[in-house]
Amino acid sequence: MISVDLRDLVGGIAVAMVGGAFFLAARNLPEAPAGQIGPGFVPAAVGLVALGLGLIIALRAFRTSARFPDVELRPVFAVFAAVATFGLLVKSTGLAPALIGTTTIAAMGSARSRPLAVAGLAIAVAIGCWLIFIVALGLPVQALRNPF
Amino acid sequence: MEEILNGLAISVSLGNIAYCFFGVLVGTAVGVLPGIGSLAAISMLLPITFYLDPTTAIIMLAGVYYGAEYGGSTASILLNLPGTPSNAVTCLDGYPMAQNGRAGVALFMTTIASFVGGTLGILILVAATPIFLEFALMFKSKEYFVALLLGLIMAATVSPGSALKGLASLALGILFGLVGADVQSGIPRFTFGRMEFFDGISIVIVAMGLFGVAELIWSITSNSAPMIRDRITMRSLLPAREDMRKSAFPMLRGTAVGSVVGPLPGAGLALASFFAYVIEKRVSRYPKRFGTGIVEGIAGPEAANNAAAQTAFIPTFALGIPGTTTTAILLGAMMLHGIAPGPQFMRENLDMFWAIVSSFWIGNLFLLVLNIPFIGVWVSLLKIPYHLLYPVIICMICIGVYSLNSSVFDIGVLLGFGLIGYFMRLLDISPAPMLMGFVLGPLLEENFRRAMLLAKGDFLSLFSGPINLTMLGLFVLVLGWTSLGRRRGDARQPLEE
Repeated sequence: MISVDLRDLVGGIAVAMVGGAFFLAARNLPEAPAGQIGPGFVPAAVGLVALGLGLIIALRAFRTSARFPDVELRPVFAVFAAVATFGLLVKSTGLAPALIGTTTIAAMGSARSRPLAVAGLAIAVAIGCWLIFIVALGLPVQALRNPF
Repeated sequence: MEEILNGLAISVSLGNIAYCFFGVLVGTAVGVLPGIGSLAAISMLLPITFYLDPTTAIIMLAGVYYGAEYGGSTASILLNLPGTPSNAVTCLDGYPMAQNGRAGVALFMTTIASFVGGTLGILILVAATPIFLEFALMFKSKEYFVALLLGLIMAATVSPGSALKGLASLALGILFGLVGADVQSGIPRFTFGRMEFFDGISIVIVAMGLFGVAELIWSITSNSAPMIRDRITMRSLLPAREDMRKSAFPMLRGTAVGSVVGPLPGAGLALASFFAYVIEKRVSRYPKRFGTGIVEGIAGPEAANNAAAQTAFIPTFALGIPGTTTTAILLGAMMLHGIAPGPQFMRENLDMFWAIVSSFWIGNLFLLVLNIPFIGVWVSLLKIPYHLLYPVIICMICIGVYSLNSSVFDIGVLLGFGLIGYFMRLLDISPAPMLMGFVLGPLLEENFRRAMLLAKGDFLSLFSGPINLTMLGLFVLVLGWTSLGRRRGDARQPLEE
């Protein structure tokens, strides 16, 4: 069993991959006129630096060892699903239903949430945000919309 | 002189005072509440300010920033849970004070220390900006490039954690900042053919994803129900004369530390309060009693982080190079409002500079009132259970991002940066350098290209000239000093002892 800091290994490889992708994409950008620095030069250079740094981080991970941190999936899923819900609903149903959906799903991330309190909170958020953002600030969003 | 009076007149206009008050109010609230920082709050409010006059917008957003430094100590003292990272040190003596039944005194003294640090910090800002400006007037694209480059590298390596990972985070931030049409040629870069990426990614989305969404996830699991035992009465706030006497010098030393650390790019407020604590411990006649709840242990650090919050504006205004992550986002806000801080801004908009700076002090006065007579309000805010709070914050983030362009695509980008921020925390990579790189990356590239054109493609000649050599020398000095400090004591060790 080789000892390795899994976090640094994964992180280093991820950084190197993103840097490398930018480097490759930047090399496809058009050449600059003579004597000038083209649009691809700086991203290619920085991408290359990121690639190098990522590789160094990944290699150095073998000098120590650490486990991957424990992940509690419930809040992670709840928060990302809540944001996605907002994106899916806001155009089709309007702001108020989107906020009710977002609040409800977000609340599922915590073990302490209780159904009744969440329902009350969701309605309060929908009404409060309608008052603040649509009535007071004039945000160009519909509060309620028929999706069909 | 005329500009100063003009600026004062602008800052005391009713509208600006109202927005300043609103800013510091929001700032105190997000400072008090653990799990949401001033950075996320500023990016949430940023879309609203598009309709405001730029001066008013900056006055309000800056209020959120320094207001959070006042509020942050409340949770440190009452819950042993820092409201903002820079108040972590305040837990060390603040929480023991609360356990000794002196929570009120601790709250009072941190507010006074914050006010002293903030006020002196503003005076130093006023005195030092012209000197920096003199320096900045000698800057051409070559000097800007070197200043930005060194500043960013410093920001990435000085901040806590591994320097290598900080640099990696910075490099990725610069790359994300370059997404969009190239300023010189108009050629779209890394846009995947999407029109939405043509103007680049909005700083609001990046900041909310990296610091809003990602931080929330962390707080949901770590925030247990707060338990506050004491009722904070007005009488319990009053310190003994002894407390005042003991705090006077720590406050002044803290201010001095904060004023040195604040303007350094990326050093940040947390480092300022940490250094202040270490120094207090070193000069004290009874270092063993630190950590048991003595007033010197809170007065120095609280003065330091507030002084640093104000003096971080010196390089922001004079050079357009932010001292902290939050001033980086304020810089981004100014750029969105069509203002590019730097010598030219200072020449042409001197009244705006004075209006903003004088609003800082007005804001500090408001904060004094908000945090002493009204401390009870904030304590009860702390009693709101977090599981009722974070769904509301998520809704605010979504509305903030959606209100930029009424675009669902932006919500998708927010999810993307939220994921990036979450994985960075998981992998122990600080997202702060990424945000700095994101804001300053385009400026770095622009100045680099211009300087290379002038230097006829000679890369090494960019690092010549008296100003650049001075900056290089300073850079090496600061880096050496901080890495020495890092080796001597890891961020936690001198605190535990």
